[in-house]
Amino acid sequence: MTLMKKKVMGKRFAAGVFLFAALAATAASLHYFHHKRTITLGFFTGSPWDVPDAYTYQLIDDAVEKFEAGHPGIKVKYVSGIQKDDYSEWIASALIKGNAPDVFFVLPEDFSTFAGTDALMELDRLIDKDGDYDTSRYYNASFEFGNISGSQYGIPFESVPSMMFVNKTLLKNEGISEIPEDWTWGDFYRICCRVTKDTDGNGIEDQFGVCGYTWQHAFITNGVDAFDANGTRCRLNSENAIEAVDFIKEIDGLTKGNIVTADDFDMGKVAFMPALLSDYRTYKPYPWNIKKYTDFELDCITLPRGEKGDNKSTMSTLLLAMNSRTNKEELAWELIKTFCYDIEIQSEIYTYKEGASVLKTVTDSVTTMLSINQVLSEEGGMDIKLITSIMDHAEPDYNFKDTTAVKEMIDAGIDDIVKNGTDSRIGLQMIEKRVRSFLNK
Amino acid sequence: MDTSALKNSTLSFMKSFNFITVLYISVVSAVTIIKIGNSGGAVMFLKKVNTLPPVPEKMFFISFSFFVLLMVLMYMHDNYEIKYPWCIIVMEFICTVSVIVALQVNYNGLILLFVAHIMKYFEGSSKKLLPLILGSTFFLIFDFNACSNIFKITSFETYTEYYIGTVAAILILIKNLFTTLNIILFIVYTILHLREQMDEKDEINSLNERLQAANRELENYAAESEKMAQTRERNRLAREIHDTLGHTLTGIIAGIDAATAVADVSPEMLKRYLSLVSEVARQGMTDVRRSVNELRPDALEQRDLLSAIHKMISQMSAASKANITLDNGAGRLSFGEDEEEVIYRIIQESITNSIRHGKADTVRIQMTREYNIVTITIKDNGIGAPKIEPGFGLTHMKERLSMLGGEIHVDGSDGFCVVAKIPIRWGTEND
Repeated sequence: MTLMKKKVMGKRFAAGVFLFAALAATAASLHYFHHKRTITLGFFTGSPWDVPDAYTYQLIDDAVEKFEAGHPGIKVKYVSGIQKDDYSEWIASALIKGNAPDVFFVLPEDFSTFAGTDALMELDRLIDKDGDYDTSRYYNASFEFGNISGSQYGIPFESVPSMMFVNKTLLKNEGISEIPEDWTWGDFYRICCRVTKDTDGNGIEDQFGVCGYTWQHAFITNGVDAFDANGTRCRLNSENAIEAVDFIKEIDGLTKGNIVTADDFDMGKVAFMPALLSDYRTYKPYPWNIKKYTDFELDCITLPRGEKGDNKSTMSTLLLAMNSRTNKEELAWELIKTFCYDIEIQSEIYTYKEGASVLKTVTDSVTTMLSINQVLSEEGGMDIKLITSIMDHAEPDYNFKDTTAVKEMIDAGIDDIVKNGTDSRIGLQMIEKRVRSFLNK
Repeated sequence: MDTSALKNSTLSFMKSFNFITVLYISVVSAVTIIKIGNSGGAVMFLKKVNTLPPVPEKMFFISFSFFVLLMVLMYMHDNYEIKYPWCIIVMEFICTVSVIVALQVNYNGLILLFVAHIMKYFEGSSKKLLPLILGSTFFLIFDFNACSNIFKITSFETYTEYYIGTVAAILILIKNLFTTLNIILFIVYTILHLREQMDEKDEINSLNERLQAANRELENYAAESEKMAQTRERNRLAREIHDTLGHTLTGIIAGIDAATAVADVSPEMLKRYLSLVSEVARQGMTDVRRSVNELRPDALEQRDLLSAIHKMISQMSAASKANITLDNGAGRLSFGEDEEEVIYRIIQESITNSIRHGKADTVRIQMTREYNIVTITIKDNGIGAPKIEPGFGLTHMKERLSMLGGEIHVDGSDGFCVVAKIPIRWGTEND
C-alpha cells in the first residue's frame, strides 16, 4: 500500500522528454542521410588463385567509375592495399567490430564461414524483385557456389575451373599425338604407363605420368556424390568412390615409390598435372612463361572421366556479397550488379584478371574470344570452346562450413589407404565414420 | 529499521547492483569483441560461433541507455501520479527485455529487478501472485540455454575464451557472482515484502478492534442521545402546553370569572365577556391544532420534502392571510431523513415565529446550495424583535441543527431574518 502522496507529472517534464526525443530523431536522420551518399566496398589486391596479379585496381576503378556515373551523387569508398593473404582476417575483424563494408569480395574458403554467421545478406529477395536480373546468364556452377541451403548469399564475380595441364613436348617425344576431349581413365592410365621410364639409364625412373592427381579429381570425374548441399550428410562408401580410390592407387603405383612434385612438372619431367585455369592463363603467356615452362609446350585439356562419370571439373568462384548489416540494400545490389552482371566490366576479367568471367555471354562472345585468343594463342593457341565446355559442365566446389577441415580429413585418410594398401571399401568406411562424427559435432 | 525501510533499501541496492552487472557484462563483452577483432583471431572466432557478435559500441550503448530509461521509468512510477499504470509497467517491461536482448540473454537477472519493482503495485490476494508467476516465467524464458536453441546468440563464456585460462575463469566467476548475489537480493526482497504484508494485516486487525470498540461506544451514545431527545421533546411539549393551553385557559378562567361577576348586574356585559371567552377558546383551539401539527409532520412521510414544504406554506398562508413565497435554488431536494426533517422544521418554525411574534404579512424563503452546504434564508417584513427570546423555538432549532453539524443565525432588527446552514452528508442523497 503506498500511502505516499504522489506528485502529478508536470507539463515541463513531458515537454523535456518530447524535446529530447525530437533532438535524437533529428541527429539520427542527419546521420542517416549523410551516410546514404556513400557506399563502401571491400576488396584485396592480388589474385585469389595465388598467381601473380598486377591489374587489380584497373578493374575496380573502372567498375567504380561506371557505378558512380550511373548513380550521380553517390560515392564508392574503399580501403586499398589489403593483400589477399590478410584479406580474410581483415574482413572478419571488420565484421566482428561492425564496421565492415556494405559490399565486399568473399574468398571461396571464407564464404561458408561468413554465410554461416549471418554476416552476409540473403539476396533472394533482391534477385526476385529485380526484373532485369536473369540468373540463367551465369554458369550454373559459378552461381550455385553462392548458394547455401537454398539461399543465395553471394553473387559470382570470377570463376576458375580445374583442368589438366599437358606437357605436349613430352607426349610428342613419346609418340602420343592428340588426346580426345572425352578421354577416359583407361586412356589416362595407359599414357602414364607409357611415359613412366628411366630416360638417363641410371636405374631410377625420372619421367612420370602425373603429379598432384587427388581424390577430388577422381571423385568429380566418376560421379561421386559425397556430400549434400548443407554438408550435414556424408557418403563415401559408394561403388563410385571405391572405384575412384582404386584408380588413385593404380596411378600412384606407377611412380614406384618416387615422390613426384609440381617442380618436376615445371622441369618438363611429368606428362600431366591437374591445375586451375588461372595457372594456365598466368603461366602460358609472356612474361611468366619465361620463368616457368621454358623447355616444353604447355597445353590443357579436360580431366579424364571414370567409368561412371564425365569429363567434369570442380569450379572455384570468387563471390561478391552484401553485408547483412548494410542499410543501403538497393545501392549495394546495384554495385554488386555492376561488378557481376555488367558485360563490359565482366569482359575486363579477361584483360586484367586470371580467371574466367562468370557470364556465359561474356565468355562466349566474339570480342572476348578475340581477347582471350590474343592472350592464349601466343603459344600455339588454345581452343576457347574447351574453356566454355569445361565451365558449362563444371560443378561448384563444396561450400559448407567445415569444407577445409573435412577435405583435410579425407586427404589424410586416402593418403593412408594408398600408402598402406588398405582395402578401399574398408578405408572409405573408416573415413566416412570419422567425417560424420566431425560433422555431427 | 522497520521492514518497509529495509525493503526499500534492498530494492535500491538491487538497482545499483543490476547496474554494475549490466555495465560489467556489456563492457567486458564489447572490449573482448574489439580485442578479438584486432588480434588476428577474427576468422577463427567466426568459425566457432554461429552468428556475428553484436556491434560492440552499439551493444554497450543500447544496454546502457535502456537501463537508464528503465531507472527513470521506475522513478516516475514511484514518485508521480500516473494516469495509466499499466502503460508504464508495459514500458518498463519493454526496457527490461531490451537490455536483456542487447546483452544476448547473457544476463536475465534484470527480470527479477523488474518483478521486485512491480510487486508493490499488485495488491489483493488474487493479484498478489501475478508478478511472481509472470516473473518466474520470463526468468525461465530468458534463459541463455533455452534461447540459444531457438535464436542465434553468443554466450559470454565464448567471448571469454579469447583470454588465457585464469583471466577467463575470473571473468566468468565475477559474472556468476553477480548473478547469484542478485538472486539472493531478490529472495531477501520477496521475504521482506511478504513480512511487510503480514505486518500490515496485523495492523489492520488491531485497527479493526479499535473500530469495533468505538462503534460500541457510539451505539451507547446513540441510545443516550435518544433518551435525551425524548426528554427534550417532553420539555417542549410542556412548554407548548404552557404557552398555548396555559394562556388560553388563563384567559378563559379570567373571562368566566369576570362574566360571573357581572352576570347579575348587566347581561350586556356578560354577553361581551362570554364572546371574548369564546374567542379566546377558539384561538386556543387553533393553537392546539397547530401544536399537534408541529409534533407530527406526517406531510413529510407522505411526500417529498419540496411538496411537503409547499403544502405547509399554502396551509399557513391560508390560515394567516400572509403572503409566503419559496425560492428554491438548491435543485432537487432529496436528503437523509433527519436532514429533511430539520429543513422542514426550520422553515415551519421560522414562518410561525414571523406570523405569531413578528406579525408579518410577507415571508420570503430562499434555499441555495454550494457543494454540500444547503443555506436556507427566511426573511419577513414584520416588526421583528429587538431581542431574540428563547421562547421562539430557536433553542430547539439550534439543538437539532448542531446534531447535524450545521448552524443558525437569527436577526430581529428589521423583521426576522433566519439564516440556517446545513451540511449534507455525501452519499445520503437519494437519486
